[in-house]
Amino acid sequence: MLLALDTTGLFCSSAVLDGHSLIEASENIGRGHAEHLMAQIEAVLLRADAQWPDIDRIACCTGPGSFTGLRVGLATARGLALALNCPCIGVTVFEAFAFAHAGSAPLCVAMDAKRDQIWLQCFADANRSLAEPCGITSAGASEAVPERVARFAGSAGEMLATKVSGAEVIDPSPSPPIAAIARLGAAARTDLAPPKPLYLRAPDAKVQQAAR
Amino acid sequence: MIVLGIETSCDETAAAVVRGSESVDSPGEILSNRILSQIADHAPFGGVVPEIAARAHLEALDSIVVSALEEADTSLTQLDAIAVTTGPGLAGGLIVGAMTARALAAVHDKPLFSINHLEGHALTARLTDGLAFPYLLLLVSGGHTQILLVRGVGQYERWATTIDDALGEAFDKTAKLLGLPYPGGPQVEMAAKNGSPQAHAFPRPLSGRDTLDMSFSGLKTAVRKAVLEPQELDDNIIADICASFQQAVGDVLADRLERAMQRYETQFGAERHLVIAGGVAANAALRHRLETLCEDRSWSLCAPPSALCTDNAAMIAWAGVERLRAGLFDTDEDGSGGGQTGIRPRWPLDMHAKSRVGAGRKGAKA
Repeated sequence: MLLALDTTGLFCSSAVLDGHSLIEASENIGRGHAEHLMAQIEAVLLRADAQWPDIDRIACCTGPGSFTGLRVGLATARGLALALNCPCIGVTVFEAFAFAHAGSAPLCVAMDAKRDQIWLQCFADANRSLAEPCGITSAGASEAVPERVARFAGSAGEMLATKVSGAEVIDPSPSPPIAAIARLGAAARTDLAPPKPLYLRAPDAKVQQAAR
Repeated sequence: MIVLGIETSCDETAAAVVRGSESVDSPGEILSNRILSQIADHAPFGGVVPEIAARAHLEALDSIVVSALEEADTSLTQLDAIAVTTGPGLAGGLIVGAMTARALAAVHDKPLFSINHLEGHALTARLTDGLAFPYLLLLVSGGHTQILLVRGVGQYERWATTIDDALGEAFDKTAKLLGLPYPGGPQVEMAAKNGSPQAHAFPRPLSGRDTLDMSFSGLKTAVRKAVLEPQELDDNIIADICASFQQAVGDVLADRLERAMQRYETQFGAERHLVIAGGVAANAALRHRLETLCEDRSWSLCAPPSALCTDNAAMIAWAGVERLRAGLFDTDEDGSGGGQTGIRPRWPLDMHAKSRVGAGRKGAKA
C-alpha cells in the first residue's frame, strides 16, 4: 500500500492507494498544515482499514508552493519512510497536474507564486515535459509558453490563459490532485535519493558587506 | 530507558540517543550525539538566515537521525520515547523537527515529548553530573540570556532576562563591527587575550540598579563608537576593544549573578549550586570570572563540557528522560504543544514570567 501526501498549497491532502482502490482526504484549510496533517493521515488509514506496517511506499508532493507547507509534507514523508524503512517518492505539482490531465494536446501547468510571479512547466503529454520547471514574472510568463500549448491548469492557469488566444483552462485548482500524486508514486522507480523540495526561489538574504 | 532527541530550533541539525535510569538524580549516559552545524551556510550573510536554516534542516535531519541510532547501536523499536524541541526558536526549523519526530513516534507508537529548548539547557547538569534540585542556572547564548531558578522538572522561575540583545548576539555583533569572521564569539575571546581590559571605559548597563535583568545594546553602541574612532583598525586596537568589551560583560554578569546568589541564599541556604549553559559559557575568561565568584561565596560551579553547553540533541533527549520518569506527558493544556498541536516559536520556560518592556505585543519570547 502507498501513502500519498500534499501540503504544498491551500489544500492538505492524503491518500492511501491499494492496487486500484484509492481512499483520500482533501481539505481546503489554507494554513495550519503542520497541525492538521498527522491526524488526517491517521483518519485516512482508518478508512482504508490499514495499519502503519501495511504502508510500503510513501509519495509526497515536492512543490513548488508555500516553503513552509512543502517542508511540512516532506519532513513528514521522509520521517515516515525512515520509520517504515520504505521508499519515498517525490512528485512535483507540475507532474501531478500533467498526469491528471493526460491527453493528446500539450498542457501548461502554471501556479501563482505571489509577488507578481508564476511558476510553470509545459508538457507535450503526461510523460514528456517541454522544458524544466521555472519561475518567471507574470508579465513575461506568456512568452515562456510555446505557441502550440493551448490547455492550461493550476492556480495561475486562468490568468495566463487570458493572454493566449484560443486558450482553454481545464483545471484551475490551487493544489494538485492527490490521486495523481499517489498513482505517479506507485509507478515510480524506488532506487532514487530521498525527495527534495522544488523551491524555484532562492532564500531572501543578502550577502554581508563589510560592517565598517 | 532510552530516548531519541531531535533539535532543529536554530542552526544546528542534531539527533542524539540518551539512556537514563529509573532512579531520580542519577546521571544519564549519552549513547550518541550527532550534530551537523550550518555555520558555513550562514557565514556569508553574517548571521543565521531562517529560510536557509529551514532548508538545511530538511535536507539533513533524517540521515542525522539514522546515524544517531546507528552509533547508539539501537533502533526505533527499542526506544522508550522520542523528544523534540518545539520551541522557542525559528519556526521553519522547528516544523521540520516536529513533523519528523511525530512521524517516527506515530509509526512506532512511542510517547512523544515536546521539549522547550531552554529546558534542555536547564537540565543538562543532571545529565552530566546528576545534580540534585534546586540550583541556579545562568543561560547565556546567541538567543538567550537568563538567570533561572531550577526547582524541579517542569518547575522553573525566570529571575532575570536581557531586556534587549542576547549576550552571544552582543559578542557576534562586536566581532562584526571589528571585521572578525562569523561566528564572532570565539574570535572576540581570542583577540581579547592580547588586549588591555582597561583600554576603553565601556558602560556596565543597569549596574547598581535594583534588578537582575541585563541589557547589552548600550554596550554594543559604545563598541561601535570605539570602532569608528581610529583611522585604521589594527590588531592592537581590535585586541583592546575586545578585552575591554569582555571585561564589561564579565562585570555585568558578576554583578547580576551576585544579586541572584544573595536572593537564592536567603531562600535555600546551604545547597548552593550554579550551573552555566549556552554558547557563551564556553568563553574561558568569563568562566574563570564565574569560578572566582563561586569560590568567594562558597558555591559549587557546574559547567558541562562545551559540546553540551551549545545547542545539541542530547540535552533534548535527556529532558525526555526526565519527563518520562516524572510521568510528565504532553497534554493539550500544559503549553507544551499537546503533542499534536504544533510548534511554539515563542515559548517562555517560566509561563508566569512577566514580559519586560520591549518584549512586544506577544509577550516574552523565551
